[in-house]
Amino acid sequence: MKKKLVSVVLSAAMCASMLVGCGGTTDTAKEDTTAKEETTDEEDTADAGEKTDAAASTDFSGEELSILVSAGWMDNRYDETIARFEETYDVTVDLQAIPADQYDDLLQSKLTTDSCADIFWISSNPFAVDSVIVDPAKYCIDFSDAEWKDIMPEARQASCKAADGKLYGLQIWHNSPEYVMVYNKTMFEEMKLTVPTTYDEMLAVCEKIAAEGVTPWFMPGADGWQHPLAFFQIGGVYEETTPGLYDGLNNNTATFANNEKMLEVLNQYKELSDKGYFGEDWIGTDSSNMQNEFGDRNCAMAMANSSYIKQLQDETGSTDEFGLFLIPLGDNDTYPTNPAGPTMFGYKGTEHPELVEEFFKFVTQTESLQEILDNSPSYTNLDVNDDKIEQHWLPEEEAFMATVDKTKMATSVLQTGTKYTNDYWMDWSADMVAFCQGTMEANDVLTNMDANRAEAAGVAGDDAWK
Amino acid sequence: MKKTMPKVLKQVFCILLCLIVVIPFYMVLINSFKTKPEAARMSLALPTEWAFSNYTEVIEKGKLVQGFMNSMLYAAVSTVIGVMGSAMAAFVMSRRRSKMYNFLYYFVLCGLFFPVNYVTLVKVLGAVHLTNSRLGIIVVFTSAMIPFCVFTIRNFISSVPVELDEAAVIDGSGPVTLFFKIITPMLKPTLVTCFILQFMGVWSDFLTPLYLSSKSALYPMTMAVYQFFGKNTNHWNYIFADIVLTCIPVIIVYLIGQKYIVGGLTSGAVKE
Amino acid sequence: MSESGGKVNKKRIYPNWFLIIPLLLYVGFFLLPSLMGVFYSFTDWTSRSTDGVSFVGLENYVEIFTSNKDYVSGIFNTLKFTVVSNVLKLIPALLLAIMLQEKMRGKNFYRTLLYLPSILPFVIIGLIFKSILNYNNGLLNGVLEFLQLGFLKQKWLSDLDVVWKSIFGLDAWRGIGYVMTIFIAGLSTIPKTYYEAAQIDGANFWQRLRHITLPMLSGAIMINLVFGLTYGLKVFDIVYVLTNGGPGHATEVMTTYSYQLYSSGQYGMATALNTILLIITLIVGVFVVRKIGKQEVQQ
Repeated sequence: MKKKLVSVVLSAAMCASMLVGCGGTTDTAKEDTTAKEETTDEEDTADAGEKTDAAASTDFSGEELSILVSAGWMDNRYDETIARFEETYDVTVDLQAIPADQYDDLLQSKLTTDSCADIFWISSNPFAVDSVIVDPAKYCIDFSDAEWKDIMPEARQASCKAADGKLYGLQIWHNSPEYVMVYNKTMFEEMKLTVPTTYDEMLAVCEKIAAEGVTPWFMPGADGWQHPLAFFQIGGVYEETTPGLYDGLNNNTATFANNEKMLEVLNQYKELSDKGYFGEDWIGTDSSNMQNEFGDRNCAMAMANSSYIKQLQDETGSTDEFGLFLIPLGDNDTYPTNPAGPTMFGYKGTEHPELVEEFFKFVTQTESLQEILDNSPSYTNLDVNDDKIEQHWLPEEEAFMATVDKTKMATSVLQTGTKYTNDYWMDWSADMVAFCQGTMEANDVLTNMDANRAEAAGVAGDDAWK
Repeated sequence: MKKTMPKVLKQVFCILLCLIVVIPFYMVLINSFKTKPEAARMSLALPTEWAFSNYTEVIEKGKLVQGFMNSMLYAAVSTVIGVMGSAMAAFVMSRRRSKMYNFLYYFVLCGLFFPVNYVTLVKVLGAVHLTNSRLGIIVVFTSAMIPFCVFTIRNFISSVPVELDEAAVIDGSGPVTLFFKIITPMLKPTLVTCFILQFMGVWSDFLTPLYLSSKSALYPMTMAVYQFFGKNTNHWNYIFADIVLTCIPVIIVYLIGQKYIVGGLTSGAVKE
Repeated sequence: MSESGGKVNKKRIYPNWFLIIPLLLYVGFFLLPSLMGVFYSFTDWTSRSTDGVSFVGLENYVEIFTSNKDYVSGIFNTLKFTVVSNVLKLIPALLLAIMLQEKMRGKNFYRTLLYLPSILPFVIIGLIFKSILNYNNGLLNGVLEFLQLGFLKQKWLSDLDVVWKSIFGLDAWRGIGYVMTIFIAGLSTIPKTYYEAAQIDGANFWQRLRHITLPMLSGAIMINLVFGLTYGLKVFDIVYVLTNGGPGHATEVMTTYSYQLYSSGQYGMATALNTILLIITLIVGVFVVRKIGKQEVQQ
């Protein structure tokens, strides 16, 4: 109800102040104050503890907190928490959701022109804080001593720290298996198939499924960013074959080129492509219709997140059962550990640093975390150190995790375990397609990655590449 | 007989052509009434159940009312100023053909080829304190369309006879009266065409406001489309509904403009 | 209101202040920032250089022409796109404009419809056409099959021999209405009496086209040609949304390369590539304007 009121007021204020430039915001803020009063009472009783804390330090009334985020990173899962934050502190939050393909450029431009929002997000991994934000000490509020930092498990804290050892970010993300094989269990049972654990078994399974006129492995190549996952998510198997590979790649003592295991995986991928197991035209197919393809039983497997199963069943009304298994290319049996995800940072140049700090404190409260989890259809859990949170693990996830060897979870995926690799995702994607179409050699795909990484290392002034 | 056959053929041809153009639009329209999974199929079939709520949902979630106001303001104001300002400049450049004016013309023309650099643009706007304001965004849009408009209008202005100017001056009109009372009506088809093309350009450009403002209150209507692209799954139904709503204003502007192009034509013909 | 000897006082009736506002805006808010952008192509500006940039001369340009990346094929593809897309749009658009200029039932309706595609955002065009062009369940292959033309079915977006045709086709689909609108504006300035006179002389369609329409239309043709060429050379969105330079690197153009450089933080290199593109466009554009401009004067 209140949201509606605010938006009506907002648009009215807009009309009135159209030509006056930015006069609109002050009007809105004033109107907001009156709307707020009626709700303060219940708030007081709800979380009296925090409330007094906030009131004691500063009065933020009427201020505006801006958040810059890529569309899809917050979805609607923060809406309720933000609304509560606005009420508690009597402020307005200006949420700026930016088209995903513009986000990185825009953020870079906002940072270099000193006009960034109070809170901004990046898609972080253990190397990203330095490579994306470049000069975190200059742009980010130092949260090394923040009381909330231990809400994050250690692996996640690594994604929030820069090379200087300070903690800048807050990563609230889930710990569900990401981009493993999702398969239609019911169909597998009907075709009397068992889950493949090696490449040869996978090949045999694909052959049987294809014989039934079903696409074995739905691969949306036209999206560009999806098919490289088949290669990078199984980083553990490369490290296992060549122990020390990750360190070597990060110290510039090892290369992608001539890596036997990587060549093997690429060739296996091409074999599946050549045999049509990714569908007749996977290179020209995008993912927009993927759920329906599953629902219509036109495909049996695809790489996806575990939460995809729930969405899929909800939205297509499919009554089939689904399950998960590890991507078996290169006979992989390692789990795609990936302590990466969208992460928020406080902008050092903000006009109200205390309010920013309050926001970080606010979202890390149990109540907020639970709210965020409950409002995310695609989350089944939050990877936070808070026992009071009620997680919603799926039975499929639990069954899958039971099959994973815990010793195979130590190595993270290749794109976040090695420096600069992730930056060339789309170049790699194009090369991989060129290889599958026979216009490029497998080893050249690997060589290009080495060349690109060297370029990025040069840009970053990395000593190992000098 | 001889005359009707080609006419029928022409109609058939046009209808076929329009069909090719319309089918994707029909896809957008029909899918905007479907549920999320159904819309993802992007089929031409009618919806199994009509989800009119997509529209109310989009208007509320995408803050379309506010976006519409912004877009309308940016597009209308900058296009009117840009087209009229350019017409005045083009008029002078075309009538005074000395070396200097020719140089100015080519100087402006160069603008057609330059790429936009948002980082430096923000710096320049910051220097004159125009960042984060609607005025700044309008100024940038107006400036960016000047090369296009000057070039287009100057190419058409030579077809307006100089004799008209002379007659008007003899009748005692000054430059302002001459331009607005005599020249502008003669240029109506051109000006309206420029207006239509530029209006559309500004309307669909969401990058400029995005880079020049750090307040979502200044975002244009077209930005909302992107809010329904998710991380794992996209809300095609909302995206389509949003497209329909953002297209309608441009279609209306075209339809209205169209009338003036034709109107200008006949009045021109009468004078001939 | 002084009039000296019947001759019009140019300074007075075409005053310079008509120029001031457009020129100021153009120089201040368009040219200046763009030139500042060009300046960066001579620096080592990267996403890492937060403490200012330093001048490196032509280093970036040398790097572009000696790099192991195939920028040359990008330049070639850009030129190919420019030529083909303009031929495919200008000629049909001109014929359409002439047809829709004549007396004809429903011509306003057709004009509006044909213009529509250029108002759709590129993301949406990409989205819809990826679906229409899908090999298995796309509309196009479906229609072909329905018409018993199954042998024409193609992998529109992944077959190396077909993918450029798909891009050209889509570009024409989107662009013809726009080009046509400018032609119609040009046609509407041609006095009807010319055609009536030609009719009396018994001129056929092609004669009228050659001797009246084309010469009288030179302004509109030039506009479309210049816009078409600059659009073609700067093409980005349509390739980006449909193939993103793929499959492999088959449809990579200069701007997609510069976009990749930009997103990997090599801003200096990216602006250098843009500057090369700018120079090419500038040369082609000014050449066309002067060439046709001269003809116009001769008329």
